[in-house]
Amino acid sequence: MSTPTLESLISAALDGRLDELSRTQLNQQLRESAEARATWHRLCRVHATMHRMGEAGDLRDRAPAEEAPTPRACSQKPRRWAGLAACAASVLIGLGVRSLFFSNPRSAPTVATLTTQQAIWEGLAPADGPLATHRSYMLRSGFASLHFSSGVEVTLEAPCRFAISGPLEMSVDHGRAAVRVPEPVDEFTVHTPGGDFVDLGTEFGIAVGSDGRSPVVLTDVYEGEIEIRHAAEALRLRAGNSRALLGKGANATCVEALDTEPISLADLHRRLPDQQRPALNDDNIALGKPVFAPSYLTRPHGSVFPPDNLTDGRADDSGVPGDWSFWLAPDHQAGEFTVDLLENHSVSRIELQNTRNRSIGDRGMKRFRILVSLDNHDFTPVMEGELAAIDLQQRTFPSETFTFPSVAARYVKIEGVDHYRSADRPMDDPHQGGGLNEIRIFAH
Amino acid sequence: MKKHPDNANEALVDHLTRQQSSLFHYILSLVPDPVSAQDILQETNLVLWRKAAEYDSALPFMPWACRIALYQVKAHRRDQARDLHVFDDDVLDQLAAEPPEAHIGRPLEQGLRDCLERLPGKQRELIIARYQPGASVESLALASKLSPNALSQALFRIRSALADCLERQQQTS
Repeated sequence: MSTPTLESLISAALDGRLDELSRTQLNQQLRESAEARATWHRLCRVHATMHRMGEAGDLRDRAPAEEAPTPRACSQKPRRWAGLAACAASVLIGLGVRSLFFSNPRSAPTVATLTTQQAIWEGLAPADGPLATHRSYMLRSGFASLHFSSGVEVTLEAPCRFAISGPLEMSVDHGRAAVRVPEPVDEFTVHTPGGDFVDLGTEFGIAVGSDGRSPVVLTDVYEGEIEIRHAAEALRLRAGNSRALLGKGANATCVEALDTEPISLADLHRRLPDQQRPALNDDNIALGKPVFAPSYLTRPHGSVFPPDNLTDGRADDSGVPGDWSFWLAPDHQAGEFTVDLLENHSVSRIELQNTRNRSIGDRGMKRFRILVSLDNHDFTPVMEGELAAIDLQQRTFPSETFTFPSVAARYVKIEGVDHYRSADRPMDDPHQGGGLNEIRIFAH
Repeated sequence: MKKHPDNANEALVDHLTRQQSSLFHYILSLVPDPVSAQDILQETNLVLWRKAAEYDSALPFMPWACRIALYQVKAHRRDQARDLHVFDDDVLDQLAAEPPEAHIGRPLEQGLRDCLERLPGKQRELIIARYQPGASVESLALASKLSPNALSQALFRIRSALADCLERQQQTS
């Protein structure tokens, strides 16, 4: 019997078809020849990479979206390899539900590594380290950083719902993300409910929200170029430009401004913050308590700023359309609101964090009065104060503390006396007024 | 939760994610069964993560990572029945002494995707079918009316063509 060629022995080994005789022969050839070992390593590299791509679903056509047609763009590379792959899949025995819908981090290659900062999760809570693909995660508070095997880095701000599906793609269903794509990676795709945002190199921000019925996705290109792909069209956007993608499917449109406001995500965290935030809410008796106000600012496309935002524990003008962290009074009003602590407390200290209305800088509370009540009918003035304006350069906003002699209260009212304005607009410009990020109340 | 704020740990995270392909290649070259190789890779990742404090970012990452991967490979072999080993102990040591270099530049998956596009249609279909999850040479042979041996030979030629293509890409990049 002739000795099998190295070619046939390596094939058998890679395809799991070695018998004992051919195993012995393969070992002998590898033992005796450095060239044979080099051939083995060379083909193992292809074998390993093909296996990883197959397990990651990278060799299939992507499954179509449930409602909208799959977004297309001029630069999208066709993947029409279904052919024999589909036939082979149909004759396979014992193929269960695998990599497209579930991936166990212990049996799949690492697609991305997770690092968190003060993270609180809702539902599934992943540990720092390799992150499972095709699972939806909800970051309720804090920050998370994803380092993909492709070299791409993504920084996420809570609240954020996301999933990763491959080295070059992920989905963000809600929340804020900053994406950095290094050379020589060609494309990294972020799927959102409105459409796909493809980074062609190198860095952009995204805020995925809603107007209550349809997606509203904001994007701001910091460096390089991206492409926005939705059913109607594909749009390229270069550094210094921003857009809002409104709606989804065939009805989606891209606009340069939302109502009267320019679109800017300059305040997005593009890296994990250098310092952890101090714990501010340990003794805060206002956290999560109901707040009511005579009125608040509402505009189309998710520009709504209800008073409940004042006790949600979120700060620094963060958030996305339909889910901002701050309250804004209607135009031309300093505004007022009342916190219901739900039971009587002995209150002696209040902290307030002002707003500047994101990067717009046209709102915020200036002078104010604090009043308290036990019955929401008769209010007693406690003190007056003044808040500083939030500078447009600040990333983390300060909180200011106001203390007074301890007083019994269930209802705490803040009445704005006057408000800050944009330095670039005339005094009588209608689009400015009061507002506040957060109120914290502390008992005696 | 943890945050590794210093530069050394950030460098480790960067290496760990960028070199997953190279680590998997190294492990697979010693344990050709992909399922076992993936399990060993995950064990290796966990150990690397736990040993983050020991990592000296001034030194190359792959030799350190491959040493740890080799320990996991040998631990796996100890747990496995001897008749399931593909390589004898001395051949394993020879292969392990020749770890792949750290991969730089374009991710291997991207390069391989381009190389796949260059294959003739039938070859491309065959190699892609081979690497669908759960695929086997026996089932593909049935579907394509070839003997398993003939199919395995065809796959060897396609893998060689892809290896040539990847090497040409690296030389020109």
